[in-house]
Formats: sequence, C-alpha cells, structure tokens
Amino acid sequence: MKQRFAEQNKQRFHSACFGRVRGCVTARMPPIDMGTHERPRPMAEITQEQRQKIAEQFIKALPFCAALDIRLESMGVAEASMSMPYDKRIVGDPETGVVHGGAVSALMDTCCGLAVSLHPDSAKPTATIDLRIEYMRPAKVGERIVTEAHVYNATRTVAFVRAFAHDGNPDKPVASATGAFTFSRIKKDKS
Amino acid sequence: MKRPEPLQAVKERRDGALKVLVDSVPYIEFMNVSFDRRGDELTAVMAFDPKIIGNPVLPAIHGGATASFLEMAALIELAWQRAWGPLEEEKTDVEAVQAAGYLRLPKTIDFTVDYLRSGLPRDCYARARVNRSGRRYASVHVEAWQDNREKLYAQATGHFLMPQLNVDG
Repeated sequence: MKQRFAEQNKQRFHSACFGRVRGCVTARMPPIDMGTHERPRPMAEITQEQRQKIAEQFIKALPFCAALDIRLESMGVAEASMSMPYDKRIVGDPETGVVHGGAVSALMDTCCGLAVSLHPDSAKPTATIDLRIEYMRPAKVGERIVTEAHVYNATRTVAFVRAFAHDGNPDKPVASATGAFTFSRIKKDKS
Repeated sequence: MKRPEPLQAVKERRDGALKVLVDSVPYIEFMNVSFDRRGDELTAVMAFDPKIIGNPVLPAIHGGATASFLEMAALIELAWQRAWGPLEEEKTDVEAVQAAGYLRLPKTIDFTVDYLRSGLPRDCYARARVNRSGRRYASVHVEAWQDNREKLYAQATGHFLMPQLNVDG
C-alpha cells in the first residue's frame, strides 16, 4: 500500500514536471487583450531549409557515423539518402569479405532517423522504437552502400519509415528496412 | 576406469574454438565486443567507447551500434551451440571441427531490434537464446542490458541461414 502510494506520487510528480509543459508555458504567459491569442510555436516557423541545416549539423556531430565514415547524400521532405564506404574493419564474413549486417543496420537506422527529422511536422528529435532489417543478398565487396529512407506515415506520436539499401543499382537492393520512430507533431492552430 | 580429461585440455579446446569464431570477424574487434564464456554459456560484452555514441547531447549509444552488438551476439551463439556437440560430446579437436565447417558463421536473413531504453555511456551485455535451429534455418532471440539484468535496454529477434557442413551431419 505504502509502495503504491509512493508510485502514484512519483507519477504525479513526473506529470507535474514533464507531462504538461505546454500548458505551463501558456499559463505563465500574461493575458493578451486582443482578438487573437498567439500561442508559442517554437518549431512551427521553421522552413525546410533550416530544418535541413539543423539535421545536417546533427548528423555531422554523431561520433558513430564518423567511425563508420557515413556520408550524407541528399535530403528532401520526409526523406533522406546516406552512404557508407567499404572498409576492411567492418567486414562480417572473412571468407567473402562482405560487410557485417550490423554496419548496414547502423547506416539504415541513421538514415531513417534523419528522414523523420526532415518531416515538415516534426517538432522534436526522434528515437528508434523498432527497426527490422531484411538482408536480400550480400553487398558487393569494395562497393559503397547507399540507402534511401522515407517516412510513409506519421501519426501524432509515431513515424513509420521504409528504407532500401543498394550497392550501385537501386533496382537491386541488398537490404530493406521497416522502422517505427518516436514522433511529436507540431501543434497547428485551428483557423 | 576411464580418467576424466585434464581441465586444461577442456578449457583450451573450448576457448580455442570460441577464439576461432570471434577472431574471424573484423567487425567484432572494431566494435570492441568480446565474449565471456562460463561452460557453454556465452555473454557478449561491448566495452563502451566514445565512438559508438549516436546522440552526443544525451549522450546515448547509437541504435546502429546496439543493433550490431545484438546481431554479433546472436551469430556467435548460434555457431557456438552447433559446434558444441562435436567439440564436447565427441571431443574433436578445434582444427577438425573447423575443417568440418562448424565454425563458419550463419548468414542473417532478417533482424528486428526493439529499443527499450536509451543506451547509456557504459558497457553493454547480451545473451542470446536459440529458439530453433534446423539444418537450414534458425531463429534466435537476444537480450541486452547495461547495469541491471532485469532492465533490458534492447532486445532482438532474427532469422538466420545456417552454413552447410563439409561432412554429412
């Protein structure tokens, strides 16, 4: 009983601190005597160009991407493309010299996350909830692996992403990925 | 009466076989992953290194690093379990087990990672469980944790294609 009370209290504390941040901000704002009440919209004004710049800087600051020498290829609306060069240190099968699936996972995970942050309604940095990778065939030894990801649906809380990876010919993928990512949508004023 | 095998010989054979498996993959070394063996039980350990950070702000381990770690743990466990039979029941030496193709790694068909908590900047541990291993296909589940075994930070399930053996099994 005591423990349950403590748990409830903890939850209450948590929601008081983090749960209704938006509400707190509005409550603290001085009342405005005007016909239109402007709510704070920190990310709403952001242009796609700014969004891409922030994303690019974020990717460049990722140590694991630097370790794998992952390069940004292109960015679009809710989609992105990245690539990773062949390296002997990331080989998974010594008999054939093929890159380890884990390295391909890392490339596709990053690219999917980037696509989510390039979604025009994305308000916060994202995190992977679930990622499934299918390995269709081994990647060619010595070739750069290119991946393309796009968000095909985003709800208020989750973004669903699809990605494909190839080693030169986009029609012959080496792997495909399906992922669910955390998502928070920019609140838009009803007008 | 048959004398039990000297402890040293048993350990050398088991550790030797595990070393062949682990050393064959360059990416395992790149990721600072090692395998801790207690009898036939393996625990994969990924030593923390600043290069595996994915979010420098938190900081948190990159999801791709976690996926790589889990996949390695699954692959090694799968190959290790298959090699255990000839290694221990028939007491075959490491070279013969290797020549028969038991120490070749399976190939991943698909791998699904469930990210439960963000990976903190410290060492990670993983243990894999082979749910089914047939002649061709295998299904493996992996669990990874950091400080507390009860609080998993990630888990994964994958399907693998088993390498063909050089002998009729």
